[in-house]
Amino acid sequence: MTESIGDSPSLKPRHIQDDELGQELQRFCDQFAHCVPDPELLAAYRCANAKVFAHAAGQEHEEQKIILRKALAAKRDLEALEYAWRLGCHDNILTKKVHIFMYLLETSPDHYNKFVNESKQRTTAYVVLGFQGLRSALKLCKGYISLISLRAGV
Amino acid sequence: MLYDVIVAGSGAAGTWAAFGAARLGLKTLVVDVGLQPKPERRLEQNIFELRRTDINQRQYLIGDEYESLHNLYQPYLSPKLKAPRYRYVIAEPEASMRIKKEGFDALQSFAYGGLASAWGAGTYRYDDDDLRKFPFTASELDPYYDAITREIGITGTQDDLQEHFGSTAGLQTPLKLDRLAQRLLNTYQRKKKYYNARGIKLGYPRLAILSRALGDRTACAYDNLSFWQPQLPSIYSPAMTLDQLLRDKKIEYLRDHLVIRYSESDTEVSVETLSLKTKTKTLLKTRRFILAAGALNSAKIVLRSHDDYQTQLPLLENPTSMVPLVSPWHIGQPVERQSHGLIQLNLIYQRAPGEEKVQASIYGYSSPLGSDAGMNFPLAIKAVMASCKYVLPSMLIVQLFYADSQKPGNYVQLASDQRLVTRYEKRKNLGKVEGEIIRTFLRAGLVSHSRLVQYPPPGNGIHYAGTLPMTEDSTRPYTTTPQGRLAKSQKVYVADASIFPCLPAKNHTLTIMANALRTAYNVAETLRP
Repeated sequence: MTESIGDSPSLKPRHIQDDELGQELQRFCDQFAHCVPDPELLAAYRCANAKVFAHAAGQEHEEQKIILRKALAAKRDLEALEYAWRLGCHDNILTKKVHIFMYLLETSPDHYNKFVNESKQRTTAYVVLGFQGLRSALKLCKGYISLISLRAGV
Repeated sequence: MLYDVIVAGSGAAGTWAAFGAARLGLKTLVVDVGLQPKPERRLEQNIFELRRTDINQRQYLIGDEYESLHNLYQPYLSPKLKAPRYRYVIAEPEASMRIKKEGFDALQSFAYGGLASAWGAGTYRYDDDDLRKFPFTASELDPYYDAITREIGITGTQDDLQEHFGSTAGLQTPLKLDRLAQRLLNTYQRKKKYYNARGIKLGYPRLAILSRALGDRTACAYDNLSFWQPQLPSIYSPAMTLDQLLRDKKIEYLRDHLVIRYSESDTEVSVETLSLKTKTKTLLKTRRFILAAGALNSAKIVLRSHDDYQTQLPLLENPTSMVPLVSPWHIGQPVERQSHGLIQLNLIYQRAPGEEKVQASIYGYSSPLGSDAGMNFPLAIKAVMASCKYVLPSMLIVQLFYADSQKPGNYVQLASDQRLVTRYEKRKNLGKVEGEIIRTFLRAGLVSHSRLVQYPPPGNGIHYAGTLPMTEDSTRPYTTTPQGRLAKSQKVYVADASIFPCLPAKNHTLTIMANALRTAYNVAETLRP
């Protein structure tokens, strides 16, 4: 897997743009990992979704799918939306998809350093966590607004 | 062919009942489904080395069938049972007729070696206080505890928990602690009066993990593989004892067979089994039958044998909770590469003498994936990822176990479709001890909040017991005598946790093994000419 070289659609593999799961994965990669999804990751993401959502059904699930589709189409901030959604209801489609993505990312040697710290970095850790804590607060506000607007009309 | 003894099941109880019967020269057959792990390349390196370099790591961390993603809808399942290579331990053959779970996430194992193939290796002796409702004392169990300790190798030491965990005879030296656990133990030892005044005692665990080689088993390699690779030689599993018995031709073993029911005549017991391969039924004959299929399965076999769809049998389980504690001082410290990954320390909480004891196991967070815990952080995803990297190595998880006793709302019953129904009412009023632990450990520099405490639903403690409890009164149906014989039966014995009249707040596996061995000796007594 290579690092991101930009957001230009022309630089993204064609097969990844073509389907819904591919679009989701593309957005997750852009937003959370700054990488370009490779075919192997896409295949794994497809299979994992098939496994986790094999028996998902019902009105609530359909409504959640609509919200997710609207968010993807409107290019909403998925990190903010997921965070606000998760705090309100942990059992939602976007949190599950992001969780799948996290698992797949964590089990790739390319992203090892994103999850494992092998040296003493107390100052770095405090700075990063402090910044991320503040950022989370802002994302929460943004996410709530986004969630309310997306839910309207569903 | 007429066997002296047929044992149903190969878990902690079945293996040690068979061990005892074989040692006494009885012709013994173990009937078992006996699921095995898939033959795969064994993991040999440290898990962090594998994660850093192995491009195929998803196979054993997530699984070809994405087994690990069970965490998305079974968040309270033990991380070990969730791991792909351990899934065989709780796989259920279709013929087993799955349990109907009503408020109780029942797990059962059909694996070779049973649930203890994926256990935490905690091995604690029951004391007289734990056994106060049992019809025997701790001193009666001690010779069996001692024999098992010699055979399987247990680490531990003399410390503040000895009065709860019993004799230290024959123990190996304790395993090396992770640095955070070591720091907590040092703090406890410096401020012991403070902790003891709050009802807390802390010490080394008793673990069936070798700190030095024993026979052909090697000592613990501290490679963090315990969550990912079954059958590590340093961690005891009943499968090792079974293998030895089979190698020495001391027992016979019938695999792929499920015990359905039994019937008893004046001279023998007929045991009906179902072959999972051919779907045919077989009738085996034995002079004594020992049920050791686990508290749920043994109850099912007994109820089926009596065609009883009415009786409700008691069900016991240790309610559990999990308290995360973070040491801010350790945030940003490197991950604990050299760790065995299982219980680091034990804690006993007893506010005042005579009050209920609560036992806790304290774990570090080195082996499981960060993604297992990360989504519980109330932060946005990038912050979650940063927390996995910087906060998890500074975290301890305190898993509390509460004692349990018989209650009318907690029972198992056979349904008309022959499936077992488990019902259990969620225990109320949990949270006080957790709050006390959070407040007390603040003094040791460990931070938490009551909102971060998790209370897994009933069934997730996995310590099940009490369906055929032992009593002095041998006239009550569906109970067992002090010798382990099923009431109103002459030749059927129960050797697993079904016989527990109450469930102390301790991992009960060592006591299951010791009582199974004791039961085998009792059975042998009845077969003497």
